[in-house]
Amino acid sequence: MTEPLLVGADLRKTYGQSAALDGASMTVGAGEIVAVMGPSGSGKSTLLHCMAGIVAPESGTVVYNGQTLSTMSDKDRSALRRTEFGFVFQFGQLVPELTCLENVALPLRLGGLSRGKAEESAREWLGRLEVDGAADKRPGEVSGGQGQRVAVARALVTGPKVIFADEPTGALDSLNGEQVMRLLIDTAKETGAAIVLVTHEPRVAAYSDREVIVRDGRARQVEMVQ
Amino acid sequence: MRAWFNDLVIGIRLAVGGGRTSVARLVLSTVGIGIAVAVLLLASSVGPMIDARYERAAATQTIPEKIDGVDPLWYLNSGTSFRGESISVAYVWPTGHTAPVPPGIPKLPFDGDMYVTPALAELLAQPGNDELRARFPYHTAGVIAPDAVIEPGHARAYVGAGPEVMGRGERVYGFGSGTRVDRPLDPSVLLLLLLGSVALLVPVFIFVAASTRIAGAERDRRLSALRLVGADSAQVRRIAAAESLVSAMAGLLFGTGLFLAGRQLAEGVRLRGVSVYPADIVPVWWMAILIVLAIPVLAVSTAQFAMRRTIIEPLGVVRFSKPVRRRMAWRFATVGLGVALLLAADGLSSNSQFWAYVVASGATLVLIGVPLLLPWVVERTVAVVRGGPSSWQLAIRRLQLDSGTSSRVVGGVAVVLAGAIALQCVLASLAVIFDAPREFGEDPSEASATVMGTSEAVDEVAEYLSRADPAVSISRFREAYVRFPDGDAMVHVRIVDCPTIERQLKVTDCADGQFFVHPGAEEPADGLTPGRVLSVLHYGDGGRGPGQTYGNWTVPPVRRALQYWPTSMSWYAITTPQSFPVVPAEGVTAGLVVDPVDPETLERIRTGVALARWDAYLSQHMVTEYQDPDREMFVAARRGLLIGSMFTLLLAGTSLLVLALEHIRERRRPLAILAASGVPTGALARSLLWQIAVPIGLGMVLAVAIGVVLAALVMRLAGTSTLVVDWAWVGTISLAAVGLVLLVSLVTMPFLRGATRLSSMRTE
Repeated sequence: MTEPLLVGADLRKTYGQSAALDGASMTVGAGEIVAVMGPSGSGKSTLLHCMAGIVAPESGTVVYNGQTLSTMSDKDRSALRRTEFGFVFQFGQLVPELTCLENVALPLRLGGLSRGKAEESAREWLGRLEVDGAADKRPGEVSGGQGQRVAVARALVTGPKVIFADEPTGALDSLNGEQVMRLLIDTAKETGAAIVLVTHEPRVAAYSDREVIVRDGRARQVEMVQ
Repeated sequence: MRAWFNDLVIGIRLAVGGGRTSVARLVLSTVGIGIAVAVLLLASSVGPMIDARYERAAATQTIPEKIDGVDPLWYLNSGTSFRGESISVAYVWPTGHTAPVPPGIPKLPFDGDMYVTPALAELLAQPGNDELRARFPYHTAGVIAPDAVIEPGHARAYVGAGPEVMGRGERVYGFGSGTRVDRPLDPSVLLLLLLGSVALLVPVFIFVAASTRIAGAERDRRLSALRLVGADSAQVRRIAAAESLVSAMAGLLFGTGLFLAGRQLAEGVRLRGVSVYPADIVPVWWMAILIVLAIPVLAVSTAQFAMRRTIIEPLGVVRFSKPVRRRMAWRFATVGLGVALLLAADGLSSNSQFWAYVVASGATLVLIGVPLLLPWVVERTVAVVRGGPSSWQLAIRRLQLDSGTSSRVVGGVAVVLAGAIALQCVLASLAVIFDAPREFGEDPSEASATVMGTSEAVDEVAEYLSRADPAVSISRFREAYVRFPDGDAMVHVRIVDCPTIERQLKVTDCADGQFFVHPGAEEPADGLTPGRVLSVLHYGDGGRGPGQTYGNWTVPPVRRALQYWPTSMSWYAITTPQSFPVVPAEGVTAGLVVDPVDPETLERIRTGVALARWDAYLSQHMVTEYQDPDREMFVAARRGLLIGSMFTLLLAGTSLLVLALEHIRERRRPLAILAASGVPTGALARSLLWQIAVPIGLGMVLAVAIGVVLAALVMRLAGTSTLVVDWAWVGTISLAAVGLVLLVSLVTMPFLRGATRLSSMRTE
């Protein structure tokens, strides 16, 4: 395994009475593709959210590049999400009011980049993901596959070190799912970004270097034999 | 700095550029805020409107004090009325070339000429107004300039007369005495105005706040998506602020436009007989600035306040948790403080303005309690509701999940209702105290026309009428003042024959030796005890000269207090000619009673009076003239409040509509799924109806309870136990609210049909 970039150790998180994570641990190396698998309700999404710093675990630590996320301020964690992390979720991550181009440019603009430069960069990424035709359309006006490619473009536009993908092909047919996964993996490899990929589909998990199996809130790491 | 700028730009972009959805959202909140702004601007213009009227009225006030070097102008105020329209006429005759000229006309009219206001010119020009034209057989020399006319609808004429005015009118040495009497408001009237302002303006702020919170769930989702891509919480707040600022600014612009457009139309609008010049509708400058600043601040702070519990996290919409339990302490404390203030006011003198402010503050807090408590009442009620048809269940389940937004908007409607009910009760109760006009005498067949003037004038009119309209019955009367021997107190006595007394006062056994008084007669009429001897006064100079004792009047032996009494004669005592000594014809007001009259006969009589004697005038018993300025103020206050209520109810209706449309828009997908799974559109429509009807029903119950209790408290503080609750009116306003709900539901039907198309299931 490569040098760990992101380490989650002994993570615990409960929602109401039920424990979503019960001492789960996992590591992600730079440029590594890790699939998080498990049955529904096992806690795999919660593990991803904790690793990305968008949900705070009740106990345990998440360390990214030597920085413990739980000790960081909201502002710093947000900046981390904006600059170091990228996200591709199944639904809802695109802002419906903005065009696809504006959606991709959004993280750059939130970081203070001028509109012109942000959109120039966004247009370039839309082209790389073969959805430049959707630039001026709103998310509601493009197909599901195009929408996910836009989401991938947005996840990659800031040059992140880690991409968190939660069921990125869950709402797509197999052909579109295949294309999106291929683009995501290829582009991430090209840029050297690691991917944490939550999925319950073995076909999607097959793109990963390593699998983490989550069951009842506990994670078990499985090395893939390619 | 650039990051801040970017955040604001993103917020603005989210508000304006999101296609049909965000445009619809923007339009809805803009309309809501816009109407509120227009109402606030109008409310802030009331003061200047009244001031401008007073100033114009003051400019036409006559100066009777002698001014050296000025030839006096003989000036006689008279008037007529035409189909309910009052027309004032001033007959003028200059005694020299330096006589003053009334404002608004270039020079004094020659004998037989007249200057008229634009409203009177229009009336005279209208076809079918021959009766009116006959009363003004003068040449129109010009139109009085509008800046010298109190209001656009004011019908007035300056008629050039001859020396016959001398001795009848007053000598005038100038116009525009400039003395505006700023008498302090009666505490009861002040309280009424304060309560009215509170009842009308509190809902406006509630609607502004509610408008910024529509589509809250969608906004949360949007902001969550922003958090996911790295916006920190401060950035999200800035973006949300910019977003709400857009609708606030758009609402401000729309409201200002609405206000300006409405202002232009004001001249042609007459509400309950009052019209205003557009130029008078100018908000007080500091209030306008306050509105311009307060609306955006309110919108932004409401949006921020709404986010206090919604910690917008990147996954804020992924996981829903049970709604946070409402903190009730401060809500009850607000109402408690209001009640405490009302109770504390009990110890203060009700004659002070401070008392009025304390009571109004207490009432404000109690009224604010309505929207504060309503969400809790709705939440607690729907929590225990079980069963019912599917539409009912859908509505109740939805309300159980989130009743906040509808309760908030309905809270605004409920404040209007509570305030209106409280005001109505206070008004009805005060009406008893002020002896305000009642329905008495509005049936023209019951009414009598009374011609008043000098004996000579009345004789001429009587002669004219008997020639022109022989069918009408005419009876003559005289009036005199009698003075009590032990002071200056005087009573106005009308001397008229028994048949007329029987007809007018509805008695059957009138006889000499009787006199009649109003049942509620107070001092000095109350002191008219049989056998008492009073001096009869004689006023020279057309009744305007100093009083001279003419003879004595011994109060007749039988005093009768009657229930049926024309309100315009409440300060009279009435007796028969045989019970009163002879008084000279000259200098005593005389009159004719002509009855019964229908409106058209009345117009003919008026024309006859005008043609026969220009210094005679005519009144009808059903017309009540308010001499008491407090009464006038009371009537004006009531009129203003009713007009204001109409605007606020319009706002309430618009907000309900906005709420319902937004609800459909926000829930397009679940509604489409329900429709797709076979739920009939009718059931969905009924479900929407229930979702508005349940909170509004509870709001009405709360409003009636708080309104009546508030009115009872206020009236108790006002020192009267008379609380008049007009249940018919309460029922009417409640029905109006129900009607509003039905109307809103009806208007939303096409939108609901659109939302339940299967294509609505496809969303991003």
